[in-house]
Amino acid sequence: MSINILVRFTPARPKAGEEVRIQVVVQHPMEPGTRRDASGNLIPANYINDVVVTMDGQPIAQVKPGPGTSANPLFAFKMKATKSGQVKVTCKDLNGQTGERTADLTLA
Amino acid sequence: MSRLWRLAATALAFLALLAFAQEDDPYKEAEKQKRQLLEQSGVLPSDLFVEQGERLFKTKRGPKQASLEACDFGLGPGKLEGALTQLPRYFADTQRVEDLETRIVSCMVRLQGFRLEEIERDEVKALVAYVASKSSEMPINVVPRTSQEITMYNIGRELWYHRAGDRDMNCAICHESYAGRKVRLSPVRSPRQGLSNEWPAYRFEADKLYTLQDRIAFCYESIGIAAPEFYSEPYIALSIYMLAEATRGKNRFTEMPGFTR
Amino acid sequence: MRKQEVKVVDRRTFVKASVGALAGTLLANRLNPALAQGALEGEDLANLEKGLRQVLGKGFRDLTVSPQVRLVAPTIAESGANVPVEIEANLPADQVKAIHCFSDKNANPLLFSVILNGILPYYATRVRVAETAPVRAVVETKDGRLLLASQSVRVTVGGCG
Repeated sequence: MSINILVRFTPARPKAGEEVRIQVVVQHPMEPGTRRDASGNLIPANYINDVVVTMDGQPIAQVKPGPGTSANPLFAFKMKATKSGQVKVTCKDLNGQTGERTADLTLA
Repeated sequence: MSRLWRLAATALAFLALLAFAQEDDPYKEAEKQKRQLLEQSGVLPSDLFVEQGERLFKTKRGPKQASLEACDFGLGPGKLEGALTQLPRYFADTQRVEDLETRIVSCMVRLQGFRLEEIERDEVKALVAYVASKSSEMPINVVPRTSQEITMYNIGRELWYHRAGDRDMNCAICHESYAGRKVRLSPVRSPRQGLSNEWPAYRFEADKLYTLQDRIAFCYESIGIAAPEFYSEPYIALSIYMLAEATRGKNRFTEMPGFTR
Repeated sequence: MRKQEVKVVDRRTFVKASVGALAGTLLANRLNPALAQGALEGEDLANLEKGLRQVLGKGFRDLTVSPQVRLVAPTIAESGANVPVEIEANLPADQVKAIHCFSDKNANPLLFSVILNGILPYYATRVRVAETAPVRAVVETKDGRLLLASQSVRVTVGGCG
């Protein structure tokens, strides 16, 4: 089962040269490995440890989250909108599960 | 000398005011968090569940390879706008009063052919988030009419006042005696004041989407009473009681799904 | 010699001034944590040092406090599991290599690292702060500087359940 990702742009259709935020939210419990369940057993660590963002295939950001990142994490970036293109976000967790989402950035 | 004391008293009061000027209301803190999330991230975690729910709703799934678009929530098959405002209600095809999540489960069984044991709660919750999002901020309109609905309402009221557990508590102790005030740090409301109008909601302290049944279960655990099984009658009864009272108090749903502590 | 006449400032004014100064300092500390950087609430430099060494290979004394790094985080977080942080550097995009974030009292002080390639030096996310402690934003520049901004986040406990 792949990891669910949502990508938004703010503003949704920026003008050329305007600052645009790339906002990503990922559905994941981000288990730190230090929590215990109802019976007192340690819940094994499982968190996203790698997120890569590319624009038309070129990497623009790489995040290394860890147990210190909240569940259902949000990641937000900012860039100058110079051209329309496709943003792709991929992520991976400790169990090897992956997620991928593309979103087209269209200039106004 | 007395002027000095007055000065000291004023200064102390000023400092005390500073100390308490911070947020000690968890609901206001949740509002702050929500605003900050939207400003910085433009997206709320609840959006994830709504999107997941929409996909689950529209995809052909299960042994019968059908989507849930033929599911009738009380306003006609597939009609979702405002569906939550009149749930729970009686359904002739299942011959029982069902709330939103029980209805989703019964549709998954009847329309898609799933067996009850193989239905995953996470999927039901995502579907609840999706359907609820179509009743965002609408006035609640639960009016028990059929004999089954009235019976369920009465059971709900019985449960509301029934003392149980080793702390000998019931819902009314907090949600009526303290309605409009605080129990420790949490403001509590009565159903007439709108209690139950913010569920399903993303609880940011728990990093989870809670449905109304989840929240009732949590309440039970908090007062030392073992929570019932999901989709069982106590939840449906309490929901119809609270939402019918909320209707009498002329309340609306909050933004759906909600966002709270 | 009469006692009353030796006073340079009369007692009433002195008391008003001291109380005013005390209130002012406390107010300033609450409103601008940067001024109180002398002793950040929950500071644990020993634990922070471990994290810095592990991730950056450098220590706390290699960091430079910089007003060009802006760290936005709540001063009080009702839930330590969901603390929003926003970090921005007032530097040209091509000078910033990475942004790291630490919290002094977390078992693993590193909250996250972000490597940026050509986009604006900005990042926002939500982190887990174990207990009241400073959150530290460290901006790594291409010429090897480590710029620091810190802010204490006070973690409280929620309500009835």
